[in-house]
Amino acid sequence: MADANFAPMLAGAHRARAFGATLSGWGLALPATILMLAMILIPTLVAMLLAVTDYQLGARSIQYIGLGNFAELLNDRVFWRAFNNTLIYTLMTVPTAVLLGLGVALLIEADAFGRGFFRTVYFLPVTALLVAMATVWEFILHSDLGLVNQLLARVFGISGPDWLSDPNHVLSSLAFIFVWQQTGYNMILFLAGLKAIPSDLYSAAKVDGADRAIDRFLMVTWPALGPTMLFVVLITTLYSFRVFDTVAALTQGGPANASNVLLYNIYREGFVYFRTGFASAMTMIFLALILLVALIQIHSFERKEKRS
Amino acid sequence: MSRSTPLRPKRWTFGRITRLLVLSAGAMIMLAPFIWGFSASLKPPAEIWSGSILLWPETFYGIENYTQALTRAPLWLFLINGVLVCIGILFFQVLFAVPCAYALSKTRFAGRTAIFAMVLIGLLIPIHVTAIPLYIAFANLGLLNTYTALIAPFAISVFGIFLFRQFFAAIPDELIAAARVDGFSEWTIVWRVVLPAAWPAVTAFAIFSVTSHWNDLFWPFIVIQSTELAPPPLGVLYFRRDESGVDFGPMMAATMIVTAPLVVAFLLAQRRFIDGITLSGLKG
Amino acid sequence: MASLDIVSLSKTLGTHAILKSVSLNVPDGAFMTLVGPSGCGKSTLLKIISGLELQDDGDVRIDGMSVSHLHPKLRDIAMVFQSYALYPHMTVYENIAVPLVLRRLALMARMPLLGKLMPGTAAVRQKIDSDVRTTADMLELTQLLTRKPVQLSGGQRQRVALGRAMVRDPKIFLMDEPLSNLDAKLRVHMRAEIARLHKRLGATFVYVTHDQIEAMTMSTHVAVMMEGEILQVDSPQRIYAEPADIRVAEFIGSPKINVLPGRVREDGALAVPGFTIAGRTQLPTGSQASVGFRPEHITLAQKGVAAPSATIINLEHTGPEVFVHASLEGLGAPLTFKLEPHQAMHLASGDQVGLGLSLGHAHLFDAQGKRAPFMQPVSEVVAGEVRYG
Repeated sequence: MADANFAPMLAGAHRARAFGATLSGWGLALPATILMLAMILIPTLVAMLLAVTDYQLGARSIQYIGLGNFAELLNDRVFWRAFNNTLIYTLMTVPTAVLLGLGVALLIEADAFGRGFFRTVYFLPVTALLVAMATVWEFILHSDLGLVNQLLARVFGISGPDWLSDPNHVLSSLAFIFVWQQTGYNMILFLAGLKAIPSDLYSAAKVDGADRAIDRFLMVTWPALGPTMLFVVLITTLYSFRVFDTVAALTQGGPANASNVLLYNIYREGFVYFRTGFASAMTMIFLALILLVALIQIHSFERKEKRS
Repeated sequence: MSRSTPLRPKRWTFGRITRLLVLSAGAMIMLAPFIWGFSASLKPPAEIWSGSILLWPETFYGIENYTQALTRAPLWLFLINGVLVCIGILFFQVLFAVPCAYALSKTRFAGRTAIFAMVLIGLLIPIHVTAIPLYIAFANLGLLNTYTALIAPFAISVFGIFLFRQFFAAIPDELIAAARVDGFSEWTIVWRVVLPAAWPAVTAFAIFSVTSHWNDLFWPFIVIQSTELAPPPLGVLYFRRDESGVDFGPMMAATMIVTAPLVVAFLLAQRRFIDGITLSGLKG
Repeated sequence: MASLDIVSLSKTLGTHAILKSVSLNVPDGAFMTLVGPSGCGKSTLLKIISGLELQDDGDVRIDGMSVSHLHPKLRDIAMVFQSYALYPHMTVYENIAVPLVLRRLALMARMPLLGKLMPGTAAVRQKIDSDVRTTADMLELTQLLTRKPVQLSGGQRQRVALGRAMVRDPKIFLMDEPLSNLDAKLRVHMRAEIARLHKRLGATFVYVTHDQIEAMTMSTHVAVMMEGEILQVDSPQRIYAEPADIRVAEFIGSPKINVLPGRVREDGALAVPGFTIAGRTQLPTGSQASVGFRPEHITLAQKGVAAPSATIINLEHTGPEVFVHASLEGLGAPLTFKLEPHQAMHLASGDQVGLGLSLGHAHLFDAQGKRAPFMQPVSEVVAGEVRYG
C-alpha cells in the first residue's frame, strides 16, 4: 500500500475538478456571453453584411451588390457634407475642450480658494440632460430674443448673426454647446492626472532652480500629464464623432445640410428613408473612424508597456 | 502670530485675483443655461419677447409656466419612464455582468480567453453600429415601441464586465479560498462575497450607467414612437415639436423639470458622481 | 480531532516539481509546523491538504480515510489565512457564524424572511448563536462582535479568523503564515496565544511558516521543507540539536551555523582549512565532508592553548550577548560566534584570537549533506589540530 500508485485514482478526481470548473465557469459566464453575441457581436456582423446589400427595410428582396453602397457613398454629396462636417466639428471641439479642460484644472489646482465650488460648477453641465440644455442654449442664441445677441446689441451695438440658422455659424454653435459640456468632464480627468503627480517632484524642481511657475509646469506637470493628455484627446474625439443629440434636437442637420453629421445622416438614411443597406455602409465608415481612434490608443498603450 | 512662522500670510496677489476672475468668468458661461433657463421659466411671454436681459422677472409668471409645462406634456411620465428604463437596464447589467466578471477574473476554465476576447471587441462597438440590425430584429419580433426595446440592447454591459473584472481581480484569492473552505458555492461566492467586497465599484458603475442611459437620445429616438413610452430626452424633443419653438416660458420650465433630478442627485453626492462618471474614462 | 497522513504526495506545475513525493504523519493532537524558505512547497502542501488544490499523485488521509477526492467543504478542516480573508462586509459575529450557517441551515432556511417560516430554523439559529458567542468569549472578541473587519486591529482580525476556524470544531486546523502580517511585538503575543489555544483545544494543527522562531516556539513537531521535499520531521529541540541534513542545520538557528568544508583523511580524521579535526568517522577516505559549529559552540581559546586562529572582522553588540565575525584563513565565509559581553570587552576589529571549538557539539555531514556521526566524542585541541581523547 505504501508504494501504491494513486495517479489512476486521482485521474477521476482531476477530471471531475476540470469538468466542475468548466461547468461553473460557463454557468457563470453563459448568460452574459449569449447576450454579448445577441446584442453586440452578431448585430455588428449583420451590419457588415447589410452594408454589401441593397436591402431596404420592409422590402421583399435583398441582393448582394458588393461595394456598390460604398461606390455610391463616394459620389453622395450629402454624405460627404456630413462626413466633412463631423471632421470639422471634431477639429473645432477637441483642441478647445481639451485645452479649456486642462486650463481650468490647472487654475483650480493653483490655489485652495473656491476649489470645491469651481469644480462643482464646471462639472455641472456633465450631469445636465443635453437635449434640455441644448434647448436653453437655443433660446440664449436666438437671433432676436437671445441673451447673446441682446448683449451684443446693447453693449457693442452689433447685431449678432442667427447662430443656429446661419450656415456659416451653425456648426460652430453646436461645437460650442459640446465644448460647454465636455470641458468639465475633461477637467475632472486632468484633475485626477494632476493629483497623481507626486509633490516631491515639485520640491525637487524648485531645488533644481525652477523658480517660476511656468518652469515647473514645463519641467514637471506637462511631461507627467502626457498619458492623461493622450487619453483625454482620444475620448473627446470619440465623443465628438458621436454628436447626435444637439443636431437632432436643434437643427435636424439644417440649414441645407450645414449641420448634418455622420450619425444624423445614418439615422436619416436608415430610419427615415429606410435605405438599410446604404445606411449600414455608412455605419461601417463610422465604425472605421472609431476603430482608428482605438488603434491609436492600443498602440500608445503598448508603447508605454514596452517602456516600463 | 508668532514671528517665526515661515508661512507667508495669504495675500491677494495679482495672480490669485486673476485666477479668481478667469475662473468666475468661465463659471458664468457654465452656469448660463441653468440660470438663464430658470430665469426665463419665471417670465411672462411679454418680457421674453421684449428681449429683456433682467435675471428676475418684472411680473412673476413662474406658476403659469410650470403649470403649462406639466399639463401640455406628460413630463411626469417622461421622468417615470426614465427611472424605469434606467433601473431595468442597471438591474440586468449587474445581474449578467457580475457573474461573468467573476468567472473571468477568479476561475480557470476552458473558453475563458474566448469570452474575454468578446468583451474586448464589444468595448469598441457603440450602439450606433448595432442600431440597424437591432431595429430590424425588434421590428420582426413586434417589440418596437416597448420598454423591452429600450432595455434589451443595454441589458449586457461589456464595459461593466471589464470594470468588475478589474475590481474583482484586486480581491485577494485567499478570500475566495476561505469562502470555498467555509462552504459557499461558486454562485453564492459571487453574490455574497465578491459583490459586497467590490461594492464601491458597483455604486460607481451604477452612477455611470444611470447617467448615460438617462441622457441617451439616439436609441429611444429610433425605437419609440409613442409619447407614453418616451424617456426624458425624447420627451423634451416631443415637447419642442408640439410647441414649435414659440412659447419659450413653458418650454424653459419643462427643461428645468427634466434636468433637475440628475443635477440635484449630483449636488447631493458629488464625490460619487465624479468617480462614477469619470469611470467611463476606462471606456473607449 | 484527528490524525493526518500524507502519502507520497506529488505536484508538478508545468515542468516545475513543487512537491516530490512527500510523506508525513501528523498524529492526533499534534502541532505540526511546516517550515522552509519561500517557494519550498509548504503552502502548496497545505492547499492540497485543504482540498483547494488537487495533487498529481499520492493521497491525503484524515483518520485513515482518504479525502483526496473531497471538496474542501466536506473535509472537515478549517483554514486560517495570511491575509485573514475576513468577509469585509460582514460583522465579526457574521464572519464567525458563516461556516455554521452554511453547514447547518438548508438553502431555503438561509433566505431572508422565507427562512423564518421554515420549521426548526429557530432552534438551529439559537444553537449557532450560542456557539458563536462561546467562541467569541474564548478569544475575547465579545466586545467586538458588531464591528466590521476594517474597524479592527491586525491582532483582532487574526483572532476573528481563528474564531471562524474554531467555531465549527473541525478535525484539523490549517494555518498559512497567519502571523506574517502582524508587527513584531504582536507576533510574539499571538505566538503564545495560538500555542495556548492549541493546548486548550487539543486539536490537530498544521501550521505553515517561513519563520523558524515560530516553528521552534509553538510546535510539538517541526517538518523542515526544502525544494519540494521534507528533510526532517522531529521535535523542535531535536531539529536544532541533531539536524539530519546540512540544509536543515543551516536553515534553523540564527545566526546561521558555521560550516567548515573538509576532506576525510586516511586515519579517519577530517582536514578543514587551517586545522584538522581528529575524530574518527565512518566516511570513506578522501570523500568530501563538512563540519558545523553553532555560534554558541565557538568561544575564545584559553591563553596558552594552541588553537585555530582567526582575525576579528567586526563585533555586534546586541546587549546580552556579542556576535563576533571573524575570518579563518583558507575559509571563504567569515565565522560567527557568540560571546558574553565581558568576554568581548577588550576585543577590537583586526585582533587575532584563538578559537575554542566545543567539539562535543560538532555536527558532521557527508558529501551529500546527510548527518554522519563521529564514532567517539571529540574533546581536545592540540597545536592547531583537534584531537579526540
